[in-house]
Amino acid sequence: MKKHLGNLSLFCAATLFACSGPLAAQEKVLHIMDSGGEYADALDKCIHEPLLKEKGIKVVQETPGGYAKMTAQAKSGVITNVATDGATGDMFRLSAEDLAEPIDWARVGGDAMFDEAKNKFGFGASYYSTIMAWRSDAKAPANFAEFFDTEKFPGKRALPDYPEFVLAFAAMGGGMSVEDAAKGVDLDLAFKTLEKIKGDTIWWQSGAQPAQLLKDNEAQYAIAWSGRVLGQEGVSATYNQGMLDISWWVVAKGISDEQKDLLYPWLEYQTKAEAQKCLLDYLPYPGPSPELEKIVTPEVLKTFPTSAENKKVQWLINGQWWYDNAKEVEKRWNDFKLLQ
Amino acid sequence: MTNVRFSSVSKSYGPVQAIGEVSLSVASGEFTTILGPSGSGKTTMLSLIAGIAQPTSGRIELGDREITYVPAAQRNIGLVFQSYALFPHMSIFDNVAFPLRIRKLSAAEVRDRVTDALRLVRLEGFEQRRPHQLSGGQQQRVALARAIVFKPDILLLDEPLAALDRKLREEVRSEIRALQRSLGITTIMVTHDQEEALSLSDHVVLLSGGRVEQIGTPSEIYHRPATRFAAGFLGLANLIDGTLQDGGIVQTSDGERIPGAASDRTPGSTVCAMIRPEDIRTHPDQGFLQGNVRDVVFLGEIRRYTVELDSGRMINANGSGGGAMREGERVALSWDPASVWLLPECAAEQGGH
Amino acid sequence: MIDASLAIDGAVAGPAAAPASARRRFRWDLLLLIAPLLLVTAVVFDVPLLNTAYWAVSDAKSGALTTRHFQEFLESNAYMRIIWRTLFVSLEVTLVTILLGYPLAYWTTKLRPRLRMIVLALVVMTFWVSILVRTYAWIVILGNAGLVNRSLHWLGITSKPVEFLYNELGIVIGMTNVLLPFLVLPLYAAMLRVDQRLLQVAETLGASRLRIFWQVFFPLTVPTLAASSILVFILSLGFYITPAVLGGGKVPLIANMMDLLINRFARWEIAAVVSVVLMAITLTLYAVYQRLREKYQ
Repeated sequence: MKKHLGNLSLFCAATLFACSGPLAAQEKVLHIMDSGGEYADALDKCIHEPLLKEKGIKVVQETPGGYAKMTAQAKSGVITNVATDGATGDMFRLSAEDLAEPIDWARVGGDAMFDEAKNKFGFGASYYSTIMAWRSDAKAPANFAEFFDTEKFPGKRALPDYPEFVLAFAAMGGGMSVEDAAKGVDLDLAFKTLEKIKGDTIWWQSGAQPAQLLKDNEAQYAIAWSGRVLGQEGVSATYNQGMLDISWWVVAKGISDEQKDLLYPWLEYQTKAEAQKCLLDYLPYPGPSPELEKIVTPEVLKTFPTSAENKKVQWLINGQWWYDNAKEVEKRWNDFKLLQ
Repeated sequence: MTNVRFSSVSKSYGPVQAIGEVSLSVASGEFTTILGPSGSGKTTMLSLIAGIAQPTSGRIELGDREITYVPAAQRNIGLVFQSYALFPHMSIFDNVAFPLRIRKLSAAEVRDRVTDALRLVRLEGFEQRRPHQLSGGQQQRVALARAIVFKPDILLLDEPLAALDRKLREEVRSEIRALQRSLGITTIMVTHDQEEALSLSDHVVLLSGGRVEQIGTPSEIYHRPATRFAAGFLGLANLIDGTLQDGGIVQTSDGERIPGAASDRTPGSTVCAMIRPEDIRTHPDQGFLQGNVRDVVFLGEIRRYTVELDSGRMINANGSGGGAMREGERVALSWDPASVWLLPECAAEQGGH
Repeated sequence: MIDASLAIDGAVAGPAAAPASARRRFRWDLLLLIAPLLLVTAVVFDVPLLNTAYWAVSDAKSGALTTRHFQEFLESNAYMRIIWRTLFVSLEVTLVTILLGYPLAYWTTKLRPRLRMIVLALVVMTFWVSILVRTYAWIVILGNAGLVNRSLHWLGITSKPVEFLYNELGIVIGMTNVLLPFLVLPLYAAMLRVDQRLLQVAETLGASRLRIFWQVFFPLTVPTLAASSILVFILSLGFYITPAVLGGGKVPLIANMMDLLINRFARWEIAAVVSVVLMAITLTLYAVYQRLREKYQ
């Protein structure tokens, strides 16, 4: 009797294992990863639902994405997620470390895109800026030198907890000119500034946080992504000295042909100006279509990082420098953050 | 030295009355036992004297102080619980020193008194042990030492012999008695065991159903119980109802004639007669009453016979020494008429079980 | 009596004891029954742990064993500092939890039975609220524009908002709130178990209420207090959400540091070293916790 019990349990366990294995991929599912939140919602509504209707491709999003997860995925050998979103720096790193698949632009097809958004290793999905913002009832800073001056402009600062989004500004706060900072950041200057105001700093990790912190009066000044602070009640912002960047889709190296069959229709759909216009309802980050400007209202156009008047006061991030100095940045950032 | 007096003390827990209108007096230096079955209220009495509980009505006096509502900590009494209640996290020394340290004695004096107390209970050398390392009997002695080391006015003992086996019980019994005598401390013991009560006490207070059944010396209560309950509780008693005749003879409804002592009660009145088994002598054929042996219980020192008289009544009788009788044998019972006791009241048992 | 019966037991068990233990067979049938579960546990739980430990001592590319990662860890200022700070914050949290939790447990034992149930239910109910929701709720309560600051301002006690959040104070408050039940519930049970007779006899011996508490009651609750405190400490070591949300990025603890190392910089080897260190600390403390529990229960 006991012996039978033992055999029975072994059999059950074996069956369980077999059944719990991944179901053979019958339907067409594209796995991607991104930063989630409102962006994910926007993608679902504007890109993924129509895509499912038109092409029968289901897109599953995983959060978060980023450089570290791509590395992990590559290390494990199983490429689950086909693409990730990332800033220019991430794209540089991934391509330099041979983790990015080149994009066959001929195969993407679709509508026209700005040339700068068509990179060998990245699909430029949207433009966004990192700009300075403040509570409307606080003293307005004109530039980043003033932004980091806590004596003349008292109050707490909400800063992004990401080196690539704050170090350049901190360097400017320490006296570096915008042109020089765009080429490469003086790390000593940057960290000196951050060290000086560290008692007044609140670090944020999620895009929605800085606006909330300003509204709650936890911080009076913030560096935030443009879409999160423009048009918010009680919050003022300016594109002046802002950092313009493109959010790329980077494709993982070594994806299968089946995965490629799902990838390209997805990329193609995102070239449509209408789809990009839809995204604007959620987050004011314009897509790469030249037609976009023509189909939006002038008020909305004013918020674009890429509109003429906004573009001219901003600067573009130098991806190469960030890649070259990645190790040093990491070490110094680590030491700074962990030694507070 | 102090005496204890209860004046019409009642205690109720909600709707349940634990004791009602109890009045008693304990003389200074005496050993008094409060005896009763479970539910009789004896534990409540102990709590009231100790100060753990307060009476619903009545007065309690200790010496010339009224202590009815005085907190337990200020009554200066020594209490030994049945479970000993030694502080498990302290050494034996610290346990016994506890009451002394409260009274702010110097370290030297504490050491002296603790050593003396432990010597008194024959536990010298046990100072550094922990309670869990001691046997039950030893723990009890420590509890005793702790209860007397600070020279309290009275000593309260809660069923001290209950957890001990027969042999140990006799030892501890004589120790307690010796201790009490040598210290001369007024002691009140609470128990349900009549053997404990009879062997140790100067006086016994018999409780039943929250009321006092009888107060007296052990001998008085045993040989001259006031009620049926008292008669039955303190040992086996043969109770025979009947009508009193001339010359102290009790005539039963079955026609038996029980020779008894001369009494000043009016002849013709209804009486309850009591004869203890040990006062009855057995003989094969010579005696007042005849019957057959129905049961024999061998108790070591004595044999207890249950005899069925010809009238059908059952009588307990002791036989000792030689001449053992067996079941079914014919036996005759006789006794000294003077050992027959007439209960003051013939009423049915009150309270108790 | 107890001694005698023990002696008898010993006499009977003596001769029979030796052969009995030798006769104990290895229960293969039982092993078979639990083998599937053992296998799942080993594969899903133990193997990844061992793998992580392997990463801590092996070179990422070649696979050769190396102490380089441990060296880097020990030499770095930042990593060790975070470990120390986490230990310190956990100690703070444990102390605050004790100072709040002991009186709370004590007060609960003194309540009437119905009130007691309500209080206990309130304590247990906190487990039903997600820790994330609870942590964010503190922002609403303690923020500059939050309930507490507004009340203080309205009462005229403060003119500027008190900074409860985005610093160590906020983290301690948040973590204490989560960990309090782990201390209160066992303490409550232990307090109920204290023999009332001990307290009564102490009273008759002349002790004041204060003395009874400190010399009789409190020492009897200390074993449970110690064991629960260690549990609270161990749990604090691994906290992630509360320091992340309420610390404003300025009070990183071990778990936050691991987040940086794993998700941002992909320094998995260092993260593995930190994991091993954290596991070593936790296991040591857990062993102490178990010893305390066994010793006193």
